[in-house]
Amino acid sequence: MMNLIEVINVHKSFDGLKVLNGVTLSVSSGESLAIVGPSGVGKSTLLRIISGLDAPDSGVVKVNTKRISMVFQYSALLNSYTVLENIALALHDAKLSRSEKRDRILEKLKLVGLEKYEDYYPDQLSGGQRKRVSFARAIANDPEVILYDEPTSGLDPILSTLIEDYINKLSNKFKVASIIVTHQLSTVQRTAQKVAMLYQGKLVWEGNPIDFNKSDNPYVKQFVNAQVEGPIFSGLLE
Amino acid sequence: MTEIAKLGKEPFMWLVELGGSFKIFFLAFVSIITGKFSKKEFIVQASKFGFDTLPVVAVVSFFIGLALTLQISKQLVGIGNTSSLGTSVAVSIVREIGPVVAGVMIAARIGGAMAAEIATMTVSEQVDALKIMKLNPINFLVAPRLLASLIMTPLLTVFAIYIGSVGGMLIAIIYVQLDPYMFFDSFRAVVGNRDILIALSKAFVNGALVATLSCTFGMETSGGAAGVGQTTTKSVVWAMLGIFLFNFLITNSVYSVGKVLDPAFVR
Repeated sequence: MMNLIEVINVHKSFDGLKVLNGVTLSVSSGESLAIVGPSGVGKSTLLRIISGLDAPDSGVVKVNTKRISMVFQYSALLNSYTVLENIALALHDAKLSRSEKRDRILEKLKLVGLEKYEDYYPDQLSGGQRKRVSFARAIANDPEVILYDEPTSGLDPILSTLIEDYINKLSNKFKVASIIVTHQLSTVQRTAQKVAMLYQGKLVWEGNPIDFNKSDNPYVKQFVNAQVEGPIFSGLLE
Repeated sequence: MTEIAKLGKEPFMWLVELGGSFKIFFLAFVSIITGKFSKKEFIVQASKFGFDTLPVVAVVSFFIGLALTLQISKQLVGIGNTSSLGTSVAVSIVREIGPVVAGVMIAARIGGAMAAEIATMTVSEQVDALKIMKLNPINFLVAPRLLASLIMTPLLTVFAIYIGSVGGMLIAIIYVQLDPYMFFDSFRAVVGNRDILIALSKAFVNGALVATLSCTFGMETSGGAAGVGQTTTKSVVWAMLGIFLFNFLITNSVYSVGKVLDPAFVR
Protein backbone atom coordinates (compact mmCIF):
# COMPACT_ATOMS: atom_id res chain seq x y z
CA MET A 1 0.00 0.00 0.00
CA MET A 2 1.27 3.47 -0.90
CA ASN A 3 2.67 5.56 1.91
CA LEU A 4 0.81 8.86 2.09
CA ILE A 5 3.20 10.30 4.67
CA GLU A 6 6.87 9.44 5.03
CA VAL A 7 9.07 10.99 7.69
CA ILE A 8 12.72 10.07 7.28
CA ASN A 9 15.40 10.86 9.86
CA VAL A 10 13.92 14.21 10.89
CA HIS A 11 15.82 16.47 13.30
CA LYS A 12 14.59 19.68 14.88
CA SER A 13 16.03 21.97 17.56
CA PHE A 14 14.73 25.13 19.22
CA ASP A 15 17.36 27.50 20.69
CA GLY A 16 19.90 24.69 20.86
CA LEU A 17 17.45 22.28 22.51
CA LYS A 18 17.08 19.08 20.49
CA VAL A 19 13.37 18.31 20.18
CA LEU A 20 13.41 15.70 17.41
CA ASN A 21 16.44 13.51 16.99
CA GLY A 22 16.19 11.33 13.90
CA VAL A 23 12.49 10.39 13.74
CA THR A 24 11.43 8.02 10.95
CA LEU A 25 7.84 6.84 10.39
CA SER A 26 5.25 6.32 7.68
CA VAL A 27 1.49 6.22 7.28
CA SER A 28 -0.38 4.61 4.40
CA SER A 29 -3.87 5.24 3.02
CA GLY A 30 -6.65 4.63 5.55
CA GLU A 31 -4.18 3.85 8.34
CA SER A 32 -4.30 5.53 11.73
CA LEU A 33 -1.13 6.11 13.68
CA ALA A 34 -1.13 7.34 17.26
CA ILE A 35 1.99 9.21 18.37
CA VAL A 36 2.18 9.02 22.15
CA GLY A 37 4.56 10.15 24.82
CA PRO A 38 4.72 12.41 27.85
CA SER A 39 4.22 16.16 27.48
CA GLY A 40 7.03 18.14 25.88
CA VAL A 41 8.73 15.32 23.98
CA GLY A 42 8.15 16.80 20.52
CA LYS A 43 4.86 15.18 19.47
CA SER A 44 3.21 18.42 18.38
CA THR A 45 6.47 19.59 16.77
CA LEU A 46 6.50 16.42 14.68
CA LEU A 47 2.88 17.05 13.66
CA ARG A 48 3.66 20.66 12.70
CA ILE A 49 6.58 19.46 10.57
CA ILE A 50 4.39 16.88 8.80
CA SER A 51 1.72 19.54 8.19
CA GLY A 52 4.31 21.91 6.71
CA LEU A 53 3.80 24.59 9.37
CA ASP A 54 7.41 24.14 10.52
CA ALA A 55 10.45 22.99 8.56
CA PRO A 56 12.81 20.31 9.86
CA ASP A 57 16.47 21.21 10.49
CA SER A 58 17.40 18.08 8.56
CA GLY A 59 15.70 14.97 7.24
CA VAL A 60 12.93 14.46 4.72
CA VAL A 61 9.15 14.68 4.99
CA LYS A 62 7.25 13.34 2.00
CA VAL A 63 3.54 14.11 1.84
CA ASN A 64 2.16 12.29 -1.18
CA THR A 65 -1.17 14.08 -1.24
CA LYS A 66 -2.41 17.65 -1.43
CA ARG A 67 -5.56 16.82 0.52
CA ILE A 68 -4.24 17.12 4.06
CA SER A 69 -5.95 18.85 6.96
CA MET A 70 -5.53 19.24 10.68
CA VAL A 71 -7.65 19.31 13.83
CA PHE A 72 -6.03 21.63 16.35
CA GLN A 73 -5.86 21.09 20.09
CA TYR A 74 -7.99 24.15 20.88
CA SER A 75 -10.08 23.96 17.69
CA ALA A 76 -8.52 27.14 16.19
CA LEU A 77 -11.84 28.48 14.87
CA LEU A 78 -11.92 32.14 13.82
CA ASN A 79 -13.97 33.94 16.46
CA SER A 80 -15.32 36.64 14.15
CA TYR A 81 -16.73 34.07 11.72
CA THR A 82 -19.84 31.92 12.11
CA VAL A 83 -19.65 28.13 12.08
CA LEU A 84 -20.70 28.13 8.41
CA GLU A 85 -18.15 30.80 7.48
CA ASN A 86 -15.40 28.98 9.37
CA ILE A 87 -15.99 25.81 7.40
CA ALA A 88 -16.41 27.78 4.16
CA LEU A 89 -12.82 29.01 4.57
CA ALA A 90 -11.64 25.44 3.95
CA LEU A 91 -13.55 25.50 0.65
CA HIS A 92 -12.19 28.85 -0.55
CA ASP A 93 -10.48 27.33 -3.59
CA ALA A 94 -13.03 24.57 -4.25
CA LYS A 95 -14.67 24.83 -7.65
CA LEU A 96 -18.20 24.82 -6.26
CA SER A 97 -21.10 27.25 -6.54
CA ARG A 98 -22.27 29.12 -3.44
CA SER A 99 -25.20 26.72 -2.95
CA GLU A 100 -23.01 23.66 -3.52
CA LYS A 101 -20.58 24.94 -0.90
CA ARG A 102 -23.44 25.49 1.53
CA ASP A 103 -24.78 21.97 0.90
CA ARG A 104 -21.31 20.52 1.46
CA ILE A 105 -20.90 22.43 4.71
CA LEU A 106 -24.32 21.36 6.01
CA GLU A 107 -23.53 17.75 5.07
CA LYS A 108 -20.31 17.88 7.12
CA LEU A 109 -22.07 19.61 9.99
CA LYS A 110 -24.70 16.87 9.96
CA LEU A 111 -21.94 14.30 10.18
CA VAL A 112 -20.82 15.82 13.49
CA GLY A 113 -24.39 16.45 14.68
CA LEU A 114 -24.27 20.25 14.48
CA GLU A 115 -26.39 21.04 11.42
CA LYS A 116 -28.53 23.50 13.42
CA TYR A 117 -25.52 25.56 14.54
CA GLU A 118 -24.44 27.01 11.19
CA ASP A 119 -25.12 30.62 12.25
CA TYR A 120 -23.53 30.36 15.68
CA TYR A 121 -20.23 32.03 16.51
CA PRO A 122 -17.49 29.93 18.19
CA ASP A 123 -17.97 31.88 21.44
CA GLN A 124 -21.55 30.63 21.62
CA LEU A 125 -20.48 26.97 21.49
CA SER A 126 -19.19 24.60 24.17
CA GLY A 127 -15.64 23.21 23.98
CA GLY A 128 -16.91 19.90 22.61
CA GLN A 129 -19.07 21.61 19.98
CA ARG A 130 -16.12 23.76 18.87
CA LYS A 131 -14.04 20.61 18.53
CA ARG A 132 -16.75 19.03 16.39
CA VAL A 133 -16.92 22.13 14.18
CA SER A 134 -13.15 21.91 13.73
CA PHE A 135 -13.73 18.28 12.64
CA ALA A 136 -16.32 19.42 10.12
CA ARG A 137 -13.87 22.05 8.85
CA ALA A 138 -11.08 19.47 8.59
CA ILE A 139 -13.19 17.10 6.50
CA ALA A 140 -14.81 19.79 4.33
CA ASN A 141 -12.35 19.19 1.51
CA ASP A 142 -12.59 15.39 1.73
CA PRO A 143 -8.96 15.01 2.84
CA GLU A 144 -6.86 11.89 2.45
CA VAL A 145 -4.92 12.60 5.64
CA ILE A 146 -6.03 14.28 8.86
CA LEU A 147 -3.56 15.29 11.54
CA TYR A 148 -5.04 15.42 15.04
CA ASP A 149 -3.28 17.39 17.78
CA GLU A 150 -4.59 16.12 21.13
CA PRO A 151 -8.15 15.63 19.83
CA THR A 152 -9.59 14.51 23.16
CA SER A 153 -7.60 16.52 25.69
CA GLY A 154 -9.73 18.56 28.07
CA LEU A 155 -12.93 16.74 27.11
CA ASP A 156 -15.08 14.62 29.42
CA PRO A 157 -15.00 10.82 28.87
CA ILE A 158 -18.30 10.73 26.97
CA LEU A 159 -17.29 13.50 24.61
CA SER A 160 -13.87 11.89 24.19
CA THR A 161 -15.61 8.70 23.08
CA LEU A 162 -17.77 10.69 20.66
CA ILE A 163 -14.67 12.32 19.13
CA GLU A 164 -12.93 8.94 18.92
CA ASP A 165 -16.00 7.58 17.11
CA TYR A 166 -15.72 10.41 14.57
CA ILE A 167 -12.05 9.59 13.98
CA ASN A 168 -12.97 5.93 13.44
CA LYS A 169 -15.89 6.82 11.18
CA LEU A 170 -13.60 8.93 8.96
CA SER A 171 -10.97 6.22 8.93
CA ASN A 172 -13.33 3.31 8.20
CA LYS A 173 -15.99 4.93 6.04
CA PHE A 174 -13.93 7.41 4.06
CA LYS A 175 -10.52 5.67 4.21
CA VAL A 176 -8.90 8.78 5.66
CA ALA A 177 -5.39 8.25 7.06
CA SER A 178 -4.94 9.71 10.55
CA ILE A 179 -1.97 10.77 12.62
CA ILE A 180 -3.19 11.31 16.16
CA VAL A 181 -0.95 13.00 18.70
CA THR A 182 -2.26 12.14 22.13
CA HIS A 183 -1.32 11.08 25.61
CA GLN A 184 -4.72 9.60 26.38
CA LEU A 185 -4.56 5.83 26.37
CA SER A 186 -8.28 5.44 25.68
CA THR A 187 -7.83 7.40 22.43
CA VAL A 188 -4.90 5.16 21.47
CA GLN A 189 -6.86 1.98 22.14
CA ARG A 190 -10.04 3.10 20.40
CA THR A 191 -8.63 4.79 17.30
CA ALA A 192 -5.13 3.62 16.37
CA GLN A 193 -3.96 0.74 14.22
CA LYS A 194 -0.32 1.64 14.85
CA VAL A 195 1.32 3.29 17.88
CA ALA A 196 4.66 5.09 18.03
CA MET A 197 6.05 6.29 21.33
CA LEU A 198 8.24 9.38 21.27
CA TYR A 199 10.67 10.21 24.02
CA GLN A 200 13.58 12.67 24.03
CA GLY A 201 13.16 13.25 20.33
CA LYS A 202 13.37 9.60 19.32
CA LEU A 203 10.86 6.85 18.66
CA VAL A 204 11.44 4.42 21.53
CA TRP A 205 8.69 1.95 20.54
CA GLU A 206 6.49 1.12 17.55
CA GLY A 207 3.79 -1.53 17.18
CA ASN A 208 0.06 -2.16 17.43
CA PRO A 209 -2.19 -1.02 20.30
CA ILE A 210 -2.56 -4.55 21.78
CA ASP A 211 1.21 -5.04 22.02
CA PHE A 212 1.53 -1.48 23.32
CA ASN A 213 -0.52 -2.41 26.38
CA LYS A 214 1.54 -5.56 27.08
CA SER A 215 4.97 -4.26 26.13
CA ASP A 216 7.99 -4.84 28.37
CA ASN A 217 9.71 -1.75 26.99
CA PRO A 218 10.50 0.28 30.15
CA TYR A 219 9.29 3.56 28.59
CA VAL A 220 6.01 2.07 27.36
CA LYS A 221 5.46 0.15 30.59
CA GLN A 222 5.92 3.26 32.71
CA PHE A 223 3.66 5.33 30.42
CA VAL A 224 0.87 2.74 30.19
CA ASN A 225 0.90 2.03 33.94
CA ALA A 226 1.25 5.74 34.79
CA GLN A 227 4.14 5.01 37.15
CA VAL A 228 6.20 7.75 38.69
CA GLU A 229 9.28 5.51 38.94
CA GLY A 230 11.00 4.72 35.66
CA PRO A 231 13.20 6.01 32.86
CA ILE A 232 10.75 8.74 31.81
CA PHE A 233 10.52 10.36 35.20
CA SER A 234 14.29 10.31 35.79
CA GLY A 235 14.71 11.71 32.29
CA LEU A 236 12.28 14.51 33.05
CA LEU A 237 14.13 15.31 36.29
CA GLU A 238 17.38 15.61 34.35
CA MET B 1 23.58 30.41 21.52
CA THR B 2 25.64 31.58 24.49
CA GLU B 3 24.29 34.21 26.86
CA ILE B 4 26.98 36.66 25.71
CA ALA B 5 26.06 36.11 22.06
CA LYS B 6 22.38 36.69 22.96
CA LEU B 7 23.34 39.94 24.74
CA GLY B 8 25.26 41.08 21.69
CA LYS B 9 22.34 40.30 19.39
CA GLU B 10 19.64 41.96 21.53
CA PRO B 11 20.37 45.65 20.69
CA PHE B 12 20.05 44.91 16.97
CA MET B 13 16.81 42.91 17.15
CA TRP B 14 14.79 46.02 16.33
CA LEU B 15 16.59 46.15 12.99
CA VAL B 16 15.54 42.57 12.26
CA GLU B 17 11.96 43.43 13.27
CA LEU B 18 12.02 46.53 11.08
CA GLY B 19 13.20 44.40 8.16
CA GLY B 20 10.36 41.94 8.83
CA SER B 21 7.84 44.79 8.87
CA PHE B 22 9.09 46.13 5.52
CA LYS B 23 8.79 42.65 4.02
CA ILE B 24 5.23 42.22 5.28
CA PHE B 25 4.28 45.73 4.07
CA PHE B 26 5.66 44.95 0.64
CA LEU B 27 3.87 41.57 0.40
CA ALA B 28 0.59 43.10 1.60
CA PHE B 29 0.94 45.97 -0.86
CA VAL B 30 1.45 43.48 -3.71
CA SER B 31 -1.63 41.60 -2.49
CA ILE B 32 -3.67 44.84 -2.63
CA ILE B 33 -2.40 45.74 -6.10
CA THR B 34 -3.11 42.26 -7.45
CA GLY B 35 -6.52 42.13 -5.73
CA LYS B 36 -5.78 38.86 -3.94
CA PHE B 37 -6.82 40.14 -0.52
CA SER B 38 -10.01 39.15 1.33
CA LYS B 39 -12.69 41.70 0.41
CA LYS B 40 -14.94 40.65 3.27
CA GLU B 41 -12.19 41.27 5.81
CA PHE B 42 -11.51 44.67 4.22
CA ILE B 43 -15.12 45.78 4.69
CA VAL B 44 -15.14 44.56 8.31
CA GLN B 45 -11.88 46.36 9.08
CA ALA B 46 -12.84 49.60 7.30
CA SER B 47 -16.12 49.81 9.23
CA LYS B 48 -14.26 49.14 12.49
CA PHE B 49 -12.07 52.15 11.73
CA GLY B 50 -15.06 54.40 11.29
CA PHE B 51 -17.21 53.27 14.19
CA ASP B 52 -14.39 52.79 16.70
CA THR B 53 -12.28 55.83 15.94
CA LEU B 54 -14.56 58.59 14.69
CA PRO B 55 -16.00 59.61 18.11
CA VAL B 56 -12.65 59.60 19.89
CA VAL B 57 -10.91 61.51 17.08
CA ALA B 58 -13.73 64.07 17.13
CA VAL B 59 -13.56 64.65 20.89
CA VAL B 60 -9.75 64.81 21.09
CA SER B 61 -9.41 67.06 18.01
CA PHE B 62 -12.10 69.42 19.29
CA PHE B 63 -10.42 69.90 22.67
CA ILE B 64 -6.95 70.22 21.16
CA GLY B 65 -8.37 72.84 18.79
CA LEU B 66 -9.81 74.72 21.79
CA ALA B 67 -6.63 74.55 23.87
CA LEU B 68 -4.28 75.38 21.00
CA THR B 69 -6.28 78.41 19.89
CA LEU B 70 -6.55 79.61 23.48
CA GLN B 71 -2.76 79.44 23.88
CA ILE B 72 -2.05 81.18 20.57
CA SER B 73 -4.68 83.86 21.18
CA LYS B 74 -3.11 84.68 24.58
CA GLN B 75 0.18 85.45 22.84
CA LEU B 76 -1.43 87.36 19.97
CA VAL B 77 -3.69 89.45 22.23
CA GLY B 78 -0.54 90.43 24.15
CA ILE B 79 1.05 91.91 21.02
CA GLY B 80 -2.26 93.17 19.63
CA ASN B 81 -2.23 91.02 16.52
CA THR B 82 -5.39 88.91 16.82
CA SER B 83 -6.04 89.22 13.07
CA SER B 84 -3.41 86.52 12.38
CA LEU B 85 -5.03 84.06 14.81
CA GLY B 86 -6.66 82.13 11.97
CA THR B 87 -3.31 81.84 10.15
CA SER B 88 -1.49 80.45 13.19
CA VAL B 89 -4.28 78.00 14.03
CA ALA B 90 -4.55 76.86 10.41
CA VAL B 91 -0.84 76.12 10.05
CA SER B 92 -0.74 74.23 13.36
CA ILE B 93 -3.89 72.19 12.85
CA VAL B 94 -3.72 71.41 9.15
CA ARG B 95 0.00 70.75 8.86
CA GLU B 96 0.78 69.17 12.25
CA ILE B 97 -1.92 68.63 14.86
CA GLY B 98 -4.58 67.06 12.61
CA PRO B 99 -2.40 64.30 11.12
CA VAL B 100 -0.63 63.59 14.42
CA VAL B 101 -3.79 63.49 16.56
CA ALA B 102 -5.62 61.26 14.09
CA GLY B 103 -2.53 59.02 13.75
CA VAL B 104 -2.03 58.68 17.50
CA MET B 105 -5.71 57.96 18.10
CA ILE B 106 -5.73 55.33 15.35
CA ALA B 107 -2.55 53.75 16.74
CA ALA B 108 -4.05 53.58 20.23
CA ARG B 109 -7.61 52.64 19.32
CA ILE B 110 -7.26 50.52 16.18
CA GLY B 111 -3.58 49.55 16.14
CA GLY B 112 -3.75 48.12 19.67
CA ALA B 113 -6.92 46.17 18.91
CA MET B 114 -5.51 44.96 15.59
CA ALA B 115 -2.28 43.75 17.21
CA ALA B 116 -4.17 42.04 20.07
CA GLU B 117 -6.57 40.32 17.65
CA ILE B 118 -3.83 38.96 15.37
CA ALA B 119 -1.62 38.03 18.34
CA THR B 120 -4.52 36.06 19.86
CA MET B 121 -5.12 34.38 16.51
CA THR B 122 -1.42 33.47 16.38
CA VAL B 123 -1.14 31.99 19.87
CA SER B 124 -4.44 30.11 19.53
CA GLU B 125 -3.25 28.54 16.24
CA GLN B 126 -5.92 30.29 14.12
CA VAL B 127 -3.20 31.64 11.82
CA ASP B 128 -1.80 28.10 11.53
CA ALA B 129 -5.30 26.86 10.67
CA LEU B 130 -5.45 29.42 7.84
CA LYS B 131 -2.10 28.18 6.52
CA ILE B 132 -3.30 24.56 6.64
CA MET B 133 -6.37 25.61 4.62
CA LYS B 134 -3.95 27.20 2.11
CA LEU B 135 -5.16 30.70 2.96
CA ASN B 136 -2.23 33.09 2.89
CA PRO B 137 -2.29 35.16 6.14
CA ILE B 138 -0.91 38.14 4.22
CA ASN B 139 -3.88 38.10 1.81
CA PHE B 140 -6.39 37.18 4.48
CA LEU B 141 -5.27 39.22 7.49
CA VAL B 142 -2.64 41.84 6.66
CA ALA B 143 -3.63 43.23 3.24
CA PRO B 144 -7.30 43.99 4.16
CA ARG B 145 -6.17 45.77 7.34
CA LEU B 146 -3.48 47.71 5.48
CA LEU B 147 -5.90 48.81 2.77
CA ALA B 148 -8.54 49.81 5.35
CA SER B 149 -5.90 51.79 7.21
CA LEU B 150 -4.57 53.48 4.04
CA ILE B 151 -8.06 54.62 3.10
CA MET B 152 -9.55 55.42 6.49
CA THR B 153 -6.59 57.21 8.13
CA PRO B 154 -6.58 60.08 5.57
CA LEU B 155 -10.38 60.39 5.91
CA LEU B 156 -10.13 60.51 9.69
CA THR B 157 -7.29 63.03 9.42
CA VAL B 158 -9.43 65.37 7.30
CA PHE B 159 -12.20 64.92 9.88
CA ALA B 160 -9.75 65.71 12.73
CA ILE B 161 -8.61 68.89 10.92
CA TYR B 162 -12.21 69.98 10.41
CA ILE B 163 -13.29 69.38 14.02
CA GLY B 164 -10.07 70.93 15.40
CA SER B 165 -10.67 74.02 13.26
CA VAL B 166 -14.25 74.29 14.52
CA GLY B 167 -12.91 74.17 18.09
CA GLY B 168 -10.38 76.88 17.21
CA MET B 169 -13.06 79.05 15.66
CA LEU B 170 -15.27 78.77 18.76
CA ILE B 171 -12.43 80.10 20.94
CA ALA B 172 -11.73 82.86 18.42
CA ILE B 173 -15.37 83.96 18.50
CA ILE B 174 -16.18 83.49 22.19
CA TYR B 175 -12.87 84.25 23.92
CA VAL B 176 -11.10 86.66 21.55
CA GLN B 177 -14.42 88.03 20.19
CA LEU B 178 -13.00 87.85 16.72
CA ASP B 179 -15.28 88.21 13.74
CA PRO B 180 -15.78 84.68 12.32
CA TYR B 181 -15.23 86.00 8.78
CA MET B 182 -11.90 87.52 9.78
CA PHE B 183 -10.87 84.22 11.40
CA PHE B 184 -11.78 82.24 8.31
CA ASP B 185 -10.24 84.75 5.91
CA SER B 186 -6.87 84.47 7.62
CA PHE B 187 -7.38 80.69 7.90
CA ARG B 188 -8.07 80.35 4.17
CA ALA B 189 -5.27 82.72 3.21
CA VAL B 190 -2.66 80.30 4.42
CA VAL B 191 -4.23 76.88 3.77
CA GLY B 192 -3.98 75.70 0.22
CA ASN B 193 -4.18 72.44 -1.65
CA ARG B 194 -0.54 71.79 -0.88
CA ASP B 195 -1.22 71.86 2.87
CA ILE B 196 -4.02 69.36 2.47
CA LEU B 197 -1.71 67.22 0.34
CA ILE B 198 0.99 67.32 3.03
CA ALA B 199 -1.57 66.38 5.70
CA LEU B 200 -2.86 63.52 3.55
CA SER B 201 0.63 62.22 2.81
CA LYS B 202 1.36 62.20 6.54
CA ALA B 203 -1.95 60.39 7.12
CA PHE B 204 -1.09 57.85 4.43
CA VAL B 205 2.26 57.10 6.11
CA ASN B 206 0.57 56.92 9.53
CA GLY B 207 -1.99 54.46 8.21
CA ALA B 208 0.72 52.26 6.70
CA LEU B 209 2.73 52.35 9.94
CA VAL B 210 -0.15 51.42 12.23
CA ALA B 211 -1.43 48.50 10.13
CA THR B 212 1.99 47.11 9.20
CA LEU B 213 3.47 47.20 12.70
CA SER B 214 0.32 45.83 14.36
CA CYS B 215 0.05 42.94 11.92
CA THR B 216 3.77 42.12 11.92
CA PHE B 217 4.08 42.09 15.70
CA GLY B 218 0.77 40.24 16.00
CA MET B 219 1.94 37.43 13.73
CA GLU B 220 5.27 37.12 15.58
CA THR B 221 3.61 36.69 18.98
CA SER B 222 4.40 33.76 21.23
CA GLY B 223 3.94 33.07 24.90
CA GLY B 224 0.16 33.00 25.41
CA ALA B 225 -1.78 35.77 27.14
CA ALA B 226 1.37 37.54 28.37
CA GLY B 227 2.71 37.57 24.82
CA VAL B 228 -0.53 39.12 23.53
CA GLY B 229 -0.27 41.90 26.13
CA GLN B 230 3.37 42.61 25.24
CA THR B 231 2.56 42.68 21.53
CA THR B 232 -0.29 45.15 22.04
CA THR B 233 1.90 47.55 24.03
CA LYS B 234 4.82 47.17 21.65
CA SER B 235 2.77 47.83 18.52
CA VAL B 236 1.17 50.98 19.99
CA VAL B 237 4.53 52.34 21.23
CA TRP B 238 6.35 51.62 17.95
CA ALA B 239 3.51 53.03 15.86
CA MET B 240 3.44 56.25 17.90
CA LEU B 241 7.22 56.62 17.66
CA GLY B 242 6.97 56.08 13.91
CA ILE B 243 4.16 58.64 13.59
CA PHE B 244 6.15 61.35 15.41
CA LEU B 245 9.36 60.50 13.54
CA PHE B 246 7.78 60.51 10.08
CA ASN B 247 5.75 63.62 10.91
CA PHE B 248 9.00 65.45 11.59
CA LEU B 249 10.75 63.95 8.55
CA ILE B 250 7.91 64.90 6.19
CA THR B 251 7.66 68.44 7.61
CA ASN B 252 11.41 68.85 7.34
CA SER B 253 11.47 67.51 3.77
CA VAL B 254 8.60 69.78 2.75
CA TYR B 255 10.41 72.85 4.08
CA SER B 256 13.74 71.78 2.57
CA VAL B 257 12.17 71.25 -0.84
CA GLY B 258 9.87 74.29 -0.45
CA LYS B 259 12.84 76.56 0.28
CA VAL B 260 14.17 75.81 -3.19
CA LEU B 261 10.98 75.47 -5.22
CA ASP B 262 8.57 77.93 -3.61
CA PRO B 263 9.98 80.31 -0.96
CA ALA B 264 6.51 81.86 -0.48
CA PHE B 265 5.12 78.55 0.75
CA VAL B 266 7.79 78.27 3.46
CA ARG B 267 7.05 81.75 4.74
